[in-house]
Amino acid sequence: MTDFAWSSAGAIAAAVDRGAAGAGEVIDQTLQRIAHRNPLLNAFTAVTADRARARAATKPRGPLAGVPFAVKNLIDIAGVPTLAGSKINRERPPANADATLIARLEAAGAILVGALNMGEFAYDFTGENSHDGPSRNPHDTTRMTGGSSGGSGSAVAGGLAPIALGSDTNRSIRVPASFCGIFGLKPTFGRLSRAGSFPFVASLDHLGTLARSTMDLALAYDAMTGPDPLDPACTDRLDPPIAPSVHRGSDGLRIARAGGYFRIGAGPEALTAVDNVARALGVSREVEIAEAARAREAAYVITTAEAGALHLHRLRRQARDFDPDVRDRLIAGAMVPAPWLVQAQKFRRWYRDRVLRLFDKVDAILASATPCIAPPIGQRTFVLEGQEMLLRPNIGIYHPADLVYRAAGRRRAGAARRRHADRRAGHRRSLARGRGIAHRLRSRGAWDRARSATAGIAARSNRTGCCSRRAGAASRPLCAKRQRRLRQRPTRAMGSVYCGTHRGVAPQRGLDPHRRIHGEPRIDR
Amino acid sequence: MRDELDDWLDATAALLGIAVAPEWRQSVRLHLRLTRDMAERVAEFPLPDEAEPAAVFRA
Repeated sequence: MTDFAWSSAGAIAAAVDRGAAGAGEVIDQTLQRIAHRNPLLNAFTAVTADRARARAATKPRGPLAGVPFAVKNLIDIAGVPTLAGSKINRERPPANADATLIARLEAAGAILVGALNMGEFAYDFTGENSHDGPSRNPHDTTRMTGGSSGGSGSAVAGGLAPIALGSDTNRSIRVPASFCGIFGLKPTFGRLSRAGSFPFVASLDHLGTLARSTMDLALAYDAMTGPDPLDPACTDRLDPPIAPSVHRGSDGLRIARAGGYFRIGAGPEALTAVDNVARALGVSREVEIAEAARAREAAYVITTAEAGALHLHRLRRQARDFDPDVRDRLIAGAMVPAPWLVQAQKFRRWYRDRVLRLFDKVDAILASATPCIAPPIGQRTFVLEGQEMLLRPNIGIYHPADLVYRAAGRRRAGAARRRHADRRAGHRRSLARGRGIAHRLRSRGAWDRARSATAGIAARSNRTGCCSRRAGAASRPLCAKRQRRLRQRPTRAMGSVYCGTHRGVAPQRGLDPHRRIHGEPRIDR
Repeated sequence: MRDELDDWLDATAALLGIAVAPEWRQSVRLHLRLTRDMAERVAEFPLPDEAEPAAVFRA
């Protein structure tokens, strides 16, 4: 019997489609792995075993036939309370319908296996949760997964599911993807419906995917994209699938590395890895995104104000039921004067216009997704730019690009320890199937040179977004023999890639791949 | 020693109907200060009266 623990979604679907494996067999294996490993990883808060078995018995067909997936527990699952990581929401009645994205994945043949742990109300970068306990990093279970989609990162990196859905407001997909060593995709705003998900910051919320390969991200994206009248922010555009074009790689892309703000504060592992990846890609150009620090501050103000307003009635009635770390930030957010919020939104428009101009000159920008590798669970502060700072609000310091509504990928993380070596070997093979820039990195051995420390990048620029990964950076130089050997290995990398592929250009044949883009994201809110 | 952060916290908590327990006060005050400092730097950036906010409504 084939073990599907580390198989890609594409490989599982192919096996089910040709009859080499049954959906029931895949699901039974998945449920057994969850039962065995979840007590340690704490990735799942609910397992929908009966539903999954019933669904498998229908012999689903489609591009994701028989592929198990799980969702962050702020996404509605019919019959399950939508916790959004909170104690408070446990009083809510179970959702009466599935979220749009669940319905679409199941229409493509995928099978839901459960709901995933997360930071309370998504206001978190750590993956810790005072009610359910922390999700744990499969590479080193003493370390954080990153958040707020921490369970999503843990489940995918831990071999409990090949695909997980998460949400990303200020990096909540990219940080856990980075720390857990997998791929994450935050699509352009409005590309995926948010209908049936618990909100956090309406003007910054995105749903997206975490997976172990860029092809799996593309397959899931293709299954989920499309207009949705239930989400007024969702684009009306219908685009052709992107998975068939993933293999095209990065040749011809104009790629630059982000300088200035995006290098200040980064730890040595992150800088080394990004440099290695840029070298492997032949990227010498550096661009500076003007006013990025101020953009991050605007995003902070918008986030805290919108989130504080959203939760005000709960803060009045049930403040003691919040996670204390989240509660205190929300209370402060509810007190933000309106002129500050309006100014932040005006600055956001100005900043967005400036960043879009950059994409007249480049197609993708490489940057580290996080300034450090995954910290130990429970750590509350870290050193940034020589100053000890609160960890929770500052792990995501590299999120100013989020104000641009632009797609961005994530990086792979902190490869902290060498535990579970056998699992990681399989994991590495899976990761090696990444496409696009990941392909190019692979051929040049960038991941391996960056291995064991932090960051590289691998990114793929396509019409929906980019994917990236980060690696552990080298703490010591490698000998020539070792370098030659490593260059022959598959590539892993990490970091974030912001792409310029979503300009107001309608899809056309014959254009350079990253010009075959959809139109500008809708932001009519 | 009380300062404008305390005045802000007390006045707004009363206005919004949020009961801030004494043991939360220091943390809330810290986040107010962080937010204020960031908002002030954003506010320092010169923008014309005609500057549009990020959200744009289209027919």
